[in-house]
Amino acid sequence: MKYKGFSDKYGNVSHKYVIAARGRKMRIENEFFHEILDDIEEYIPRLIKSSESISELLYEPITEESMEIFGRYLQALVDFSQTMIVTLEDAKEHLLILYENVTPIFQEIIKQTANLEVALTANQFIDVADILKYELTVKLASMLLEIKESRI
Amino acid sequence: MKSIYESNLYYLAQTHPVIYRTLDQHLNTFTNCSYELIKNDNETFNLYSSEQAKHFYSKYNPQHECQRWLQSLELAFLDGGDIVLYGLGLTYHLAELLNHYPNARILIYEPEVAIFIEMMKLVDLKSLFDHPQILQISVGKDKENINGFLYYVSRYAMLHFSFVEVPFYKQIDIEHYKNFLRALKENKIGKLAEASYYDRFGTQMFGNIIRNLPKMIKTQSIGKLKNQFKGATAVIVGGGPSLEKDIIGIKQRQNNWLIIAAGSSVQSLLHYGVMPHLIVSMDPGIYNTNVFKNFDLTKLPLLFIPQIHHEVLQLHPNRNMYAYFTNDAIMDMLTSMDEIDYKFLPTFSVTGTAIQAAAYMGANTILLAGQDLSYPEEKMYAAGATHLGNNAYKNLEGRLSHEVDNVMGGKNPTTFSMLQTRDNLEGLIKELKEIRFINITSQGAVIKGADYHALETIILDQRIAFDFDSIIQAVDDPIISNDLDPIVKDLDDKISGMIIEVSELEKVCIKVNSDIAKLKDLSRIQPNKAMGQLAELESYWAETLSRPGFKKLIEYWMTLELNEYDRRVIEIGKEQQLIKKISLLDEILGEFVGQMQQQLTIIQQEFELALQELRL
Repeated sequence: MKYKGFSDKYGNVSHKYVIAARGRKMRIENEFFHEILDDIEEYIPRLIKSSESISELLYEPITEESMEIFGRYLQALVDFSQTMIVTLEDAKEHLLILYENVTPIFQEIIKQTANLEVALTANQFIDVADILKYELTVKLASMLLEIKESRI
Repeated sequence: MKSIYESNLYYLAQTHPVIYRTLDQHLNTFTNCSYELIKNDNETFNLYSSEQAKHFYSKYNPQHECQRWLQSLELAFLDGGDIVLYGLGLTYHLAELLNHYPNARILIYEPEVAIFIEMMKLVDLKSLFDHPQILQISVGKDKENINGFLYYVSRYAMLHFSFVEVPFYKQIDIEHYKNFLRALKENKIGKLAEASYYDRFGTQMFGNIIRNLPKMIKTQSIGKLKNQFKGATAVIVGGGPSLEKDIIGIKQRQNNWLIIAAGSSVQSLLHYGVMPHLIVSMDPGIYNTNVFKNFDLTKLPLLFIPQIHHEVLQLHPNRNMYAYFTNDAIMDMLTSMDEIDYKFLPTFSVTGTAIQAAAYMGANTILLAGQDLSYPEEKMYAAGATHLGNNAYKNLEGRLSHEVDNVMGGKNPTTFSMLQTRDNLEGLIKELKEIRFINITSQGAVIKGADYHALETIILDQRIAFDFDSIIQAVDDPIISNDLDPIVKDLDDKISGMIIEVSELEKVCIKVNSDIAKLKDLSRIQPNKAMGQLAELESYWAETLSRPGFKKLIEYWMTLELNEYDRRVIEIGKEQQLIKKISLLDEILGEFVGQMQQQLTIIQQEFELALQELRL
């Protein structure tokens, strides 16, 4: 197996946030909100690394194995986006500046994810790889920077 | 000043007329461009299709994309081999291949003329075609272009080449890709089959032809039996294991059907007390003589092909008749084959020859019996077959690595070569459209074009009674001596002429060897003089290649050696350094000429023996 960059750990993390998302209606504690942000900060670099690794796989002729790995990655990306949506909602109450600064970047990530799905449906794997390697990773990095700066 | 595209077009017109014609035709037919070049952010070029609204390369870094593509291929082949590349695109993939495999030789097939035209706006074609690693570039989907490319592959590429494709070509036209791959595979199988045939029989086949000639001209041809049995049903009997079960049914109908024993199956037929009306045999190998040693077959008529082992005609001296193979260059050279129509297509097994003989004699229904074309229950032959040694049976076990559908709805074990034999037979059946084929082999492989029917369900058409024994009268009919004299004289003249030609070729070999030796010395001390002499040698050798003795004899007699020579001779042309060039000349031409000298001695002996017998 060539690719080992994306672990199941992420699945657990995203699961945790789904639970967090459910609990949002009851309004989360500020401390818990920051714990979530800590996790997100810790997680984004791993997501960038995974995006890069998977893009390399997609420049190669597609195999069942690479599609399976990519499928898992995509699910994780969707889960992460859902977590971000909920977290940005929480940020309105806990850290408004983060909401204001991060939302525009996150919107672009959502657009890139949509483009990625269009390319994927058309079997344009080189386009998918380009989006992951040269677009999504850049936006994820700026989002991370913005999250960190907003918390100072 | 000309644009790079115009220069390229001019270059093609001057040096590659076939590609130029293809392009010209395309430009006259399609006025709209299907593809366009666009610039990426990093200043590299991309190929864009507005029709499909897509880019074909990475919009950010095509080189990186191609490096990844190459890394995924890395384990598939080693440097130093030949690579067939499907799709050239804008040459990014090719560039990676060339960088990464500096010792590989690449044969490129570009199916999309429109993409080639776009590429011509960027890349200098002269550098591309002159690149020492690029052996061939063919462009276009026309049959002529594909066949030209495949011919080049079969002639100049190594036997075991690697195949890689630029991935996006599969998206552009998957059907063409599949068809090309199929044709390439068939081409490769043909090449392997040829190599294996020559490897097995070597020059023995040609030696047999020369040795059999004096007997042949005193023998009747199958021409005497043309349409003799119009509308008859013929059974082509193979020696497969199913014959044991089916033999009783055949025996019961032996007077109604023209029974033809394909090669060694005659042993099994006699074992079960069935006398075939005709034996067909063609194998050049010595083991074929065992069939005629183990059984007294002298009373049965034999149809042979001139390549048959020459001892067979000593063991079976009478009741013979012959037919030719269409690719028999030696017969073509020594006799007048143009006027005759009993030239059969060469096939992988004698069954194919027997089928064509039955068709020539007028059969309109052909039953295939004992044609298992696989190994049911891992058995090779029906009872009675004794011509192969025990080793053949022992070796079989290890080769049964394939499976094939059988007529009972199950699977039979088989070998790769038997699969090829079946494919080849199916090809012949497809050609003979006017004949109805029925497979009556009860345990055999499914044969396309010959539906299976159990033997007992075949209804006999007894409206016309045929006298199949008239074959014996035809073969026993002596050839009138007066008719024979001019033929003998003509053959004597031709063989004598060939003996002289062979001596001339021997002299050529001596001269070439001596010239190479001189050039080796000269290249170090007087390079200019060496260049001049090299040109002289080149022209002398080119004349030799067009000599009738070379074209009609050596090209067939030394097919494998010549293939190897052709494959490597390109290296001499592409080498720029004189000393290395001469060294390659010595290695490649010198080796071939050495082999040729050895073979010429054998050829000379064969011709002399034939002449002696002819003059008896």
